[in-house]
Amino acid sequence: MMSFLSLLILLGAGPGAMSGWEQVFYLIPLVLCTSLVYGATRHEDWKVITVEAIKVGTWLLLLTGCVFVVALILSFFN
Amino acid sequence: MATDGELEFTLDLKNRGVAALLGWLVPGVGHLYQGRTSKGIAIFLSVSLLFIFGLQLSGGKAVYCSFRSPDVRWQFIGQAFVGSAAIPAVVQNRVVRGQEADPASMIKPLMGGKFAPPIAGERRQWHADYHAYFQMGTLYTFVAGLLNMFAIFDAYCGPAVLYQELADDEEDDGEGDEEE
Repeated sequence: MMSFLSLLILLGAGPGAMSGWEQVFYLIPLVLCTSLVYGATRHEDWKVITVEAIKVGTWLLLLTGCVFVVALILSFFN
Repeated sequence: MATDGELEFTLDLKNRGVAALLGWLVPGVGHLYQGRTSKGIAIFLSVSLLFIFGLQLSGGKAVYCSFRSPDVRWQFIGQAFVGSAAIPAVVQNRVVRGQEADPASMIKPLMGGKFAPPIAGERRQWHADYHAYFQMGTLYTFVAGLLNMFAIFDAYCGPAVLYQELADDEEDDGEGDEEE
């Protein structure tokens, strides 16, 4: 399973594809701010807000990761 | 008295309309008005950071108001939840469209063209100049606007889950009383 995923990533990356890889870092402020504000608008206590923000941030990253994998797989059939 | 987790506190939303209006004009200021200082600062920093960063990425071009075909800027619906940017964008739209309607006048937007809609194919040039960063800036400002919508709602109605929990608790108490 791991070797298949490694192969997918290596093939998907390719020589030219890695040139824009650093653009992934633009996701970090987006996820941080979104999860923080979402948590803050649902609770009043900072402990609960922090826990909620971590949960939402994790879900956002997982969801984005899933979309990335699906897009990567689809790119092989393009 | 309201509860959130194990802590108890009182939540005075003051004048909700004023708080929502202030929160729309400048993100987080509605919360500061209500005395929810730490939350106000967090919202101000988060939303402003995203919005300014988005503007910076797109060279200040990502936020403009235009609903005339072919340039229907639907993203402005989200961006408009940050009022301090939405007001100048709407003013610029009225100024530029007014000047376009008069063939004799030269199109000259206010404030050096900040928040002004693109004039005659200018948008293609923006895409050529900023590539993906124009889209990225649009996304950042759009998300910032939507987050501020949540913040405005929070300033007007209080935190969503807190009141839902209280309502559920009251329902449970009511059922308990009936059983007794």
